[in-house]
Amino acid sequence: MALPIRIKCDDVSFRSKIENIKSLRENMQLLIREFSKVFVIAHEINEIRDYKPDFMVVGIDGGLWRKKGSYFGIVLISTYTCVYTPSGTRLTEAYRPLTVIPEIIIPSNYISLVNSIKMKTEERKAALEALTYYKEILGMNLKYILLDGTLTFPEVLPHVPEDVEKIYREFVNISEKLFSKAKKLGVAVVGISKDPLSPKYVRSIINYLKGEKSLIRTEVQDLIKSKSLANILHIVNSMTSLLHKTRSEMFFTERLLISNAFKERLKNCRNKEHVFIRTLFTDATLGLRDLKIEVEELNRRTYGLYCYSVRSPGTIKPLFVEFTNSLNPYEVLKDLIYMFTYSLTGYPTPLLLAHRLVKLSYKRSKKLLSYIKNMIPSDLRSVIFEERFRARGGF
Amino acid sequence: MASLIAILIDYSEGPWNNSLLHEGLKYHVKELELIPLSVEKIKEGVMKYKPDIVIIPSVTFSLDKTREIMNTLRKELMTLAKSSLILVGIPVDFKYVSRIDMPPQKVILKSGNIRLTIFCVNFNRKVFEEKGYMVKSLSEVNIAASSNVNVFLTGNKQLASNVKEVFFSILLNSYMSLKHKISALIVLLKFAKTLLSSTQIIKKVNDILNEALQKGRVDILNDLKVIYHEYIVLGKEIDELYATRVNRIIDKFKSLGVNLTPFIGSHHENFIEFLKSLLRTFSHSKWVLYVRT
Repeated sequence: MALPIRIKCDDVSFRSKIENIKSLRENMQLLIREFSKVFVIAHEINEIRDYKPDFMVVGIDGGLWRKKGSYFGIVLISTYTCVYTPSGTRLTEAYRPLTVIPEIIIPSNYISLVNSIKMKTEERKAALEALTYYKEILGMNLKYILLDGTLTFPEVLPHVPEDVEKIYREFVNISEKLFSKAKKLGVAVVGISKDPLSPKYVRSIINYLKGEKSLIRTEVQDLIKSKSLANILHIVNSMTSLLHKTRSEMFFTERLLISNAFKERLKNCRNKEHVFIRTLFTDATLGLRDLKIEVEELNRRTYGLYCYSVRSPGTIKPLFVEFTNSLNPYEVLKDLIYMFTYSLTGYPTPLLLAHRLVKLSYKRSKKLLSYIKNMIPSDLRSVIFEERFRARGGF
Repeated sequence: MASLIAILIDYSEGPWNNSLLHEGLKYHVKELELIPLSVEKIKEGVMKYKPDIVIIPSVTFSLDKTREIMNTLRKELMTLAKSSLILVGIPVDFKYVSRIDMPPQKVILKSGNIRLTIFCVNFNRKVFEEKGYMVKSLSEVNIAASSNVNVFLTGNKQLASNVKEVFFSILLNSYMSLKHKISALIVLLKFAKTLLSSTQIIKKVNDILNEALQKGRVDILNDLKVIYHEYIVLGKEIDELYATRVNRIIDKFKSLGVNLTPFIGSHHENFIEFLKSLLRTFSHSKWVLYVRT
């Protein structure tokens, strides 16, 4: 009979590890405090009080509903395009017709990834359509296309089966067309993530300090370059060494966003005079070291920042905003502040409206599925729509 | 009638772009000659024909450059052949006018000292850019109209107002003899007439497409849809499939009694411009929505 192997605990190394963790935690808290002091900027209402922009904004969002079958699943994808002027007049809005896609037979681990890639492809198609129609054909003053989620999606793509790769290629192809056309026509594409645990922001600062220079000039670079801010350089340096050692940028980002220091800083800024609070903007694409961005226009060419609109009620939850560098970043920032401030909820109205309207409810999806069911020949119907086997009747 | 020389300003080199202006002018222009390209060539033309007036459609230039061109050319032409320069803002869109603070119509009114003859320029965009002139294309300046192809699609009201402006600028000019005034007006009228008749044809096209949508004859619309999505939105390169689709649409329209060939010309690429113009003009039409979605 084999005896269980016992590992002897080396007391000294164990203690030192714990001490390390303790010091790491303290350092992390210190860093977060310093970070929020230096990198958070509050904008006052005066900056945009007399600003009356004259441009059009398009907000696009996609919705997804999935029905499992025995052999095939069916995915319903809807996208909604909402066109707005900053004065609040809604010009037109257009549904793209619902796209019904049979699920290909892929390993079940990839289903959610494939479905979200498909949905993103549809969103980008809708964006491309809006860009072509409003800007190229009608010649309207379209300046911003707001998309839900980050522009450089997906952030990490593992080695995937061929079928998934094929779908991803199509997504890259459409994205390439969208961003090159947007650059040609002088339209900025802005991605707004509501759930911003993206480590890109921190990573890009680290990557810059490590010497992987970005092509675009950012506020963070300016701050680091100016000699009067030697302290900041020191802090950030210590942060990079720390983060590099632990490889936990994600952890840092998470801690930063939920930390008391950061929240307090935001609370302090939440006066009547302040309308928009943000971090400095930095080269967001530089932060993606795991993945080479295959869309040429996006490769090392987007700005990213965390921002927070004072008007949004209740929770203090920053958003991650990413935009292409085809326009002057300060100009885009001014327009973004305007968009965030002069909306009812503190979130850009076109995108909010697109969110609300695009949702596929259970009832509606069921109805749509019944239509599809009727269109399919009866002998195939049972194969496609047969529910998966499960024990019934109390078994 | 005065001897007239046409200098047609046209940045795209497609054959159908200048055909309409040609048609408008050829009845009353004794010596119509397309003088190619640069300002030097314009000067040569001026020296050769000694026209009284030079008319250049102005929208294809940006404002600052228009002023520069006007000032330098006017001075030179005045000294060379005692000719005057008119900048005709025929293909003007209202948006464009509001954006540049000084609409081309005002340029016309200010130009003054005009005796009559018409002079248009035909130039190759590249050569003109090499000479230092900034030529703005449709998408760059956000105007709905910049070549005469698009003029007739901007709608009658606008066209009429533009032509009216030109009429007034000619009639109010005291330096012009009556004979010259009348011949200028005839040319402009003829020009306007051609354009107006084209709008009618375009309207007929719209009617046919609406009817096709109602009666469920969607094969034309489907072809249009494919061309719109693949070649305009996704920017696919023009291939054989595209040509067959376009030919099918043209044949279909022929069978319905509308000849599209004067709009499309011999080059198939022009069909995309034609489709864009249609979408622009009838943006609220039902078939546009059908093609778009």
